[in-house]
Amino acid sequence: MPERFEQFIVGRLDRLLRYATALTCDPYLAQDVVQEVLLRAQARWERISAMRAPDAYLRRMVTNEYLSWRRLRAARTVASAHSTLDAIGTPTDDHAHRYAERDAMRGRIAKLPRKQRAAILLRYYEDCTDEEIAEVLGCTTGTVRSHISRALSALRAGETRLSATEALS
Amino acid sequence: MTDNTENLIREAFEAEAERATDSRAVLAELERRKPQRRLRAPIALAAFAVLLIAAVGIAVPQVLRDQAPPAAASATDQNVLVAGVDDYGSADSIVLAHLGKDGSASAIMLPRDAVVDIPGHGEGTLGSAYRLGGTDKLVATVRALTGTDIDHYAIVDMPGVARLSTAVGGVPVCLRVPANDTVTGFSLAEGTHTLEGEQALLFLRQRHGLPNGDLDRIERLQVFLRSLVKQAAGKLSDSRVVAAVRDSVHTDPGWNPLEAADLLRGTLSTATIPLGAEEAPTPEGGAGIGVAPEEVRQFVRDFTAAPPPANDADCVN
Repeated sequence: MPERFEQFIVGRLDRLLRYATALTCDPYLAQDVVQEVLLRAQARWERISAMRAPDAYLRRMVTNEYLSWRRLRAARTVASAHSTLDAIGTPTDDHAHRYAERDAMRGRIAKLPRKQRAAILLRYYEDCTDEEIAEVLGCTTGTVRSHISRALSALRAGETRLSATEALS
Repeated sequence: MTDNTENLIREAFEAEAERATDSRAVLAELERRKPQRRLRAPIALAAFAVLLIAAVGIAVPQVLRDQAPPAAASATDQNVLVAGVDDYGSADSIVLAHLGKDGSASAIMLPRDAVVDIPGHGEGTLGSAYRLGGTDKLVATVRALTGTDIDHYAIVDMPGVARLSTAVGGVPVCLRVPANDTVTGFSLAEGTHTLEGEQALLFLRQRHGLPNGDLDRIERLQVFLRSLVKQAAGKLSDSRVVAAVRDSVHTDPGWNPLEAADLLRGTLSTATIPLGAEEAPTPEGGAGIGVAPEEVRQFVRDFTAAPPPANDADCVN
């Protein structure tokens, strides 16, 4: 007998919310997106639970819900908050330095186009293969590789700028 | 092949994911919006709307009392349509109140998302009836849906409720747990507080950081308004109170709320019309709530004839 929707969700909701938060860079938007998706999944649960990988299907629904989300509120507020980190002075120790680097990276990730961000999230956070990512995004593996390569160039470029700023200061 | 950038990306995603909200809010919202559980929230909303009728009945008549003695108790039952209107001019709570000539009162909640026949327009949600043709269209739609004549209407707005809370000198509410809205910055310790103005609005509007999400918000509204009515009752001669009610509640010109107030005996029964288990598509492509008109009419007849007793809660989340 397929697992009931409520039972299935209880064990997975935290993970789904974390994924959506990393995807949207906005905890409240993530909550709204997950909410929408689960309401729809609940209505169609019989069919979804019979699938080979309901988890992956929900993740795909969340991703596509966000990619087609029209109500992006204050879309780049998080990104701009992080970008100010670029201007912060030289960190004093290794730990703080790593922390600053990580937050600067968060800021750069938040500024990526939505599809590129989804692609690298699936690659580096969910450890998906090109094929799996292609399935989620509904594109070819070639397009996936192109998204990831562009995203990485943008993220690396930002990193170089940050290092250069530090070297000068 | 792992370089520093890739490690940083992983760490950045982990840090971002850490900001995820508490999953219990999502679970509570899912629970609330399950078809069979949709009933709880509307019941509270119905109580809210009728409390506002009571507020109108208590505060406004002071003006009328000075002008003319009240008519003898209404000889007939009255059906009053009450709609709560948000800041954007949408009717977000729609209630059919029945005031019996024996002093009984009942309120039936009509979900704004119910897909119904809008006379002269076709299918649509109840809420859209108000947008399409204002009060008249809403009255016609509710009449067609419930098979009940509407004698009077009252339209109330939320910012007016905040003004009223100030005019009565604040409204005491009791919090079970501390409130903390990370979005608006509103925070309040647990225990009893007297709220007015902006604080009252923030209290009524908090959506984030509530254990049961929107359900808690609606409960707050209910408790707040019950308390508000108590406060208003002691300050009837205050012209600011009368003005605040007059500005936030609009009734049809033919309704004398004094009669309603004099008739009410303090008990209020609430219910929601029977809802279909299935979602019904709206003309705009959204998901509405399906209802069966025959069932609704039967329910309204039965409930109005013999409403069950009401219950209360004091402290809220």
